[in-house]
Amino acid sequence: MDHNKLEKQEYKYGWAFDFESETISKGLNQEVIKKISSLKDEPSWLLEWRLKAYQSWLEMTEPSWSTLNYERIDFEEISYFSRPKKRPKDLSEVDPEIIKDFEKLGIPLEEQKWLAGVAVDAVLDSESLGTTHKKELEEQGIIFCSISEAVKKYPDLVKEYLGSVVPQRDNFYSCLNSAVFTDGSFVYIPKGVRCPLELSTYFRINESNTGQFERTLIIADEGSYVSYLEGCTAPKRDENQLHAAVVELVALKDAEIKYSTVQNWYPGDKDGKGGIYNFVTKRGICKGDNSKISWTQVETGSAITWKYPSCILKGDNSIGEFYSVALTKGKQQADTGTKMIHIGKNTSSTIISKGISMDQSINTYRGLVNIMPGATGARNFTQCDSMIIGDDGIANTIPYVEVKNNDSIIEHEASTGRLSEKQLFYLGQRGMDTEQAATTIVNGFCKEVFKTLPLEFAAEAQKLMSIKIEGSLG
Amino acid sequence: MLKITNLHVNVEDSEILSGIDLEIKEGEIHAVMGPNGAGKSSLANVIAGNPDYTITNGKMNFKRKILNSLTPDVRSRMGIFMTFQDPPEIDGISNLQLSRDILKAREDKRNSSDIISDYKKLIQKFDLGSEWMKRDFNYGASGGEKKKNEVLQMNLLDPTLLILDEIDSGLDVDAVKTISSDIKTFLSKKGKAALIITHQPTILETIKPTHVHIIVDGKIVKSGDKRIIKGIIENGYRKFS
Repeated sequence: MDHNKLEKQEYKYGWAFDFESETISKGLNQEVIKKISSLKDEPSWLLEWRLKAYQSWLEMTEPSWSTLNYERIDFEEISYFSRPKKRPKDLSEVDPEIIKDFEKLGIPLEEQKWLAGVAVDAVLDSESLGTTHKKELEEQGIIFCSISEAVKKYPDLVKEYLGSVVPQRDNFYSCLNSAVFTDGSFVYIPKGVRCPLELSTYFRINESNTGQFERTLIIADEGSYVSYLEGCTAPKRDENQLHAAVVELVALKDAEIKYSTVQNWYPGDKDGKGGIYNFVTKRGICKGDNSKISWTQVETGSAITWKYPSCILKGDNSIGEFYSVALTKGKQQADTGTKMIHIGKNTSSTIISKGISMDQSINTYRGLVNIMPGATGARNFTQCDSMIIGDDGIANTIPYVEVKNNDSIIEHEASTGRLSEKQLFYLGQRGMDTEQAATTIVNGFCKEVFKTLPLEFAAEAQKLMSIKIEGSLG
Repeated sequence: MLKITNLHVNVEDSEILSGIDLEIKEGEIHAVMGPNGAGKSSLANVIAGNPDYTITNGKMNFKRKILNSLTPDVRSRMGIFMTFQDPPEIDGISNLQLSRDILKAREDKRNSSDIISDYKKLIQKFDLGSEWMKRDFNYGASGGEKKKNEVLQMNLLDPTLLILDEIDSGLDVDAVKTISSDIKTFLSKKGKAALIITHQPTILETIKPTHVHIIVDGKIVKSGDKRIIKGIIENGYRKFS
């Protein structure tokens, strides 16, 4: 491997702004949690909820995984709350290289400002897309705000659903998140409403300027529909290495939630130093009959990704979908997949996973399909394809299947292959250079997943693939 | 246009071309014939730059540039086009889209609507059916359709040196007719040249070669005009080996 080439590909979003911030001193204890809660001016029920989680977390042990290698995290070395006092005034204060990269990704100017963390207050509060649309959304009774705001304005909804899909004690990191979460999104779609816009965290990620312990809660009431986008192509100013988010989705009767993610956190340098530990718990429940939850993820960043967006198919005839592309390079490690828990009758699930491992990276699909005794007539289709580029990448596929009735149909297809030399030569013969050819082949490989993304996101995902592949072939 | 001098080529340490000399000038059509495994397809692939083949000696000049170390895409953009014996399928990208992406990579000046209308005409010409544009590249296509797709792309890319690597294999009589008459028309344009690899003389009845070479065991054992073909039809390659 040509190291000069590789170095050029080092993460371009990992700059840090030089600004003062309000930061609680390192370490975690009851006082820190009380401080977070009071800084956020939270009601006492939430503080109690946090403290309860903290107590549980103290009793839990950190999990270890068969395929992930990393240094243990020192939880006393992390600062659990930080917010900037001042942001860069305009784009001229931002590194021009970063702006160039935004342009490369095709991100519009206004969005660039958001992503760069520029304090665009005027635009933000009066005329931004976010606020003009906010009005449009409010007219239909749609709530789309930060979870901190929701705690104050809609405490009943938050109380009813927070922790209802991912219980505090679900796992070590969800428990930690429950104790210290800083911000995240809250969405409520009322009965029968089809949300007219794709809701996106782009608008809000900088409002809170946090990221390590996000908490997102989306509730789709009966017969409603929402498509939610989470863009982590955003350059993030991360003080520390741990990102432990929790996302909960609730779909009531006849409701549908589509949740799309493009994740490009800092992956660390070429030697595997630094980078984000992306330990995220995402789960949705199809609570009512005929409801549907669809996860699409494009995971390209983070040193380690540990993430299994899952569906609990409780309502009869409910549908769960998981579409995933995970691309790893350098020394990145990804252990990702889904869990489909079939409880209701005639529930069905689809899993399409595409893993691409380059350089010395490790890319594991790990998934569970669990069909409970009462889930008669359940169906699952799983397809896991892996592509290895280069000689050192590792691809694993670990499917778990548990079927507890005799009336269900499960299909599983899997393939592992190398980037085809024959296809590369063919496209080369037609005039594409190696990078263009490899990008074409990889994007084609991922097509089934990309086509489930909203149009703009799909274009962004394709560009992201080409940036990742660039310089890693040789 | 193309001049090959004393070319020696290895595949995985065994020599498959042992000193080829060949010159192709503008307006010429060279047919290369020979038994299976003689090195015909290797010659085509080496000119196109297939990385499986290693040049151990000799050199190739194209339009006064040395080809030896140029990557396939550079050769392609210089005007070399090879039709593949067994063209690959590529998932997740349509026939039309891949052709558009190829043209984009070549910095073709046609705009999108011109490309589509050119493409549609070609689909009609080769009778590929209305769904063809949307189908994944060569996916589920028959051997004949894949070969037609090669000739379609030749039309779209308008190369100067056309290399046909057994374009006629696996085709029915009608398809051979369609393809060969189209190639004949293409080659009648000014500034073109061709190298035709085949072991069936049929295609050469339509596309009349100006030169014919017989390759046996990695060497050109006989060169001449199209009268050589007659001898092969009658006696096969035996007398050359």
